[in-house]
Amino acid sequence: MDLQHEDPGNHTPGNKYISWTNQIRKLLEIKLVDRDELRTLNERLNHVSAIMPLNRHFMNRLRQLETAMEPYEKYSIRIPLLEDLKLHLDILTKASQGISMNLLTYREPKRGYQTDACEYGIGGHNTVGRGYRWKIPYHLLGRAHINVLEFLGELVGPCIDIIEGTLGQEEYILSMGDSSTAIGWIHRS
Amino acid sequence: MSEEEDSMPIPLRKQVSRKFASLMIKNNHLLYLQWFPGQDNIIADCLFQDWHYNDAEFIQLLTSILPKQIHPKFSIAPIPKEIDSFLCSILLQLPKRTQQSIQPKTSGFVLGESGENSCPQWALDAMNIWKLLSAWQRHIMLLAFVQAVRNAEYSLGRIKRLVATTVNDTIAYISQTFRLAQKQDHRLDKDKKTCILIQQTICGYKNQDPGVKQMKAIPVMLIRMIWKLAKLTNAPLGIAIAQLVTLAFFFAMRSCEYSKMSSEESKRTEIICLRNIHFYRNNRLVPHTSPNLHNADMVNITFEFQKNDERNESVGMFAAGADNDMCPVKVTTAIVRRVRGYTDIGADINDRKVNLFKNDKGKMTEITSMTIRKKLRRAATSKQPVSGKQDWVSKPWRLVLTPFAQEPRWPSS
Repeated sequence: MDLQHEDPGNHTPGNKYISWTNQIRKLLEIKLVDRDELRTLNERLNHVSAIMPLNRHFMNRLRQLETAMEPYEKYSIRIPLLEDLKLHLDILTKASQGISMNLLTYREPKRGYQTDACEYGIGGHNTVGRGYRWKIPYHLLGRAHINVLEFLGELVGPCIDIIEGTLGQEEYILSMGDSSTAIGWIHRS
Repeated sequence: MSEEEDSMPIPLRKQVSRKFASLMIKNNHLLYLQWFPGQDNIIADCLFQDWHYNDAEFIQLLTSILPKQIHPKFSIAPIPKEIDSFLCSILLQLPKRTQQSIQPKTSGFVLGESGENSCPQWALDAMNIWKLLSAWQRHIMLLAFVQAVRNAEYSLGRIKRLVATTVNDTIAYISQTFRLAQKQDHRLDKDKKTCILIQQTICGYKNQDPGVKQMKAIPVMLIRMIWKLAKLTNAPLGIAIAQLVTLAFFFAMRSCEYSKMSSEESKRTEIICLRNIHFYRNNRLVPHTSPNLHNADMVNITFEFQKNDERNESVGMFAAGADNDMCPVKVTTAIVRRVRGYTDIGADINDRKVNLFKNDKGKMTEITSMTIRKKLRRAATSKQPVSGKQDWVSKPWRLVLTPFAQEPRWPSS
């Protein structure tokens, strides 16, 4: 059952949004982080995770850095972490605009996907009868391990519907696959 | 497979995750994931593996096989170009692995497990051509194949011609594969009867084939000869084999029921164990531990599982008076006592097989069918039997019950 509402109540207050995004922008600019500053940032982003569960996926690198720089005062930020911080900026922007309660509660999934993969391609279908299959081009054969393809397959199904615009608003999507590794990678990469 | 080879570089995984997360945030959706067993993932499994079917054929096939699982409006459409290009860009970033790529397989579900699952590409191409042929053309093709099988073109070099039953069985196996794949049996014509050409050809082969030569039964005198030779040499193995052969003779056993065969032959039938043997005296069960076991008047053997699918069939035999060698009860008693007497065997005493034997070095072995066959042939050639010697020696040995009243005698020397 969907929650009907007009104003999404869960959002980051404006002053916090400005302060927190400024901190991230500063880090992106100087590419150097202070130990205390990083701890503060992690705590802030952890709060955001309460309304943006997706945020948790991208917290591990920040937490790792916090542990790694225990004996140091300052640490230079590498490119992968910079990319994570850019995404956190987007997440914060979204959080400031407000998150629908429908995305924070457990509901019955409206759209399900079943996917599978082999060394030669990816295939799957959704619960409204849209099937797809993608054969790996010949020159790219033998590069990806089956787990990689399973991982990509899990994401391809929802992506197709998003791009084709067949999903409704605030949809609860359930992607099902037979590879526990691929599912593990989506939970924590 | 090593962890490194198994995994995707973490930065790349992160890149994919970030891309997907951005998409989800932008479109306000929530994703959850769930694992489920691969064996239930039939449609997706077929979708990416059965490339030899085009989309229309594939949908038709799935609709006929899985009408309840498939969505009524199921359709297959190509993936958007953005996703195609994204997937290619990800794969391009992965290093090319040195490992040889494996042969693509079909799902096995749609095609059937028994045959086409491991088809090479040329065979799949041939299947596509097959679809274009008319029923009559298919029958002609099948007939050519029948003739090739008959001429032993797919057999070992020493085989010149195969008999009609073998040819017929071969064609039947092929049609079984077609039927497993939910396709029509190609032997049948439009009247649902076997094509007249194939029928007549097989009939002609039968007429050309020589008549079936029945295998000769082994007479009691051969068993007696085995006993005689065993007692002469007094070798424990010879005695054990004589006991087993006598047991097999009375209970008309298959060789896989009392001797060790090659793995191919002993797939289904199990060798008789001590738990399958029961002795009775005056209709009362006599335990194997009883000192009066040899005084039992009946022995009953339960055949738990036979290759003709019959289960727990019990066969009983009565004691034969004073003849110790040819008495089923006394011989079985001797076997049971011998096998029970072996120590240092981990298995339960009732699960011990009747063909267990401890050799001179004290090592436990199982008497094989090959050893028994050699003994039988030696016994058959040691003296000239009344008739049928050639059949025992040259053919694979098989016990067939002989009427006792017609027991032949050895010719006087």
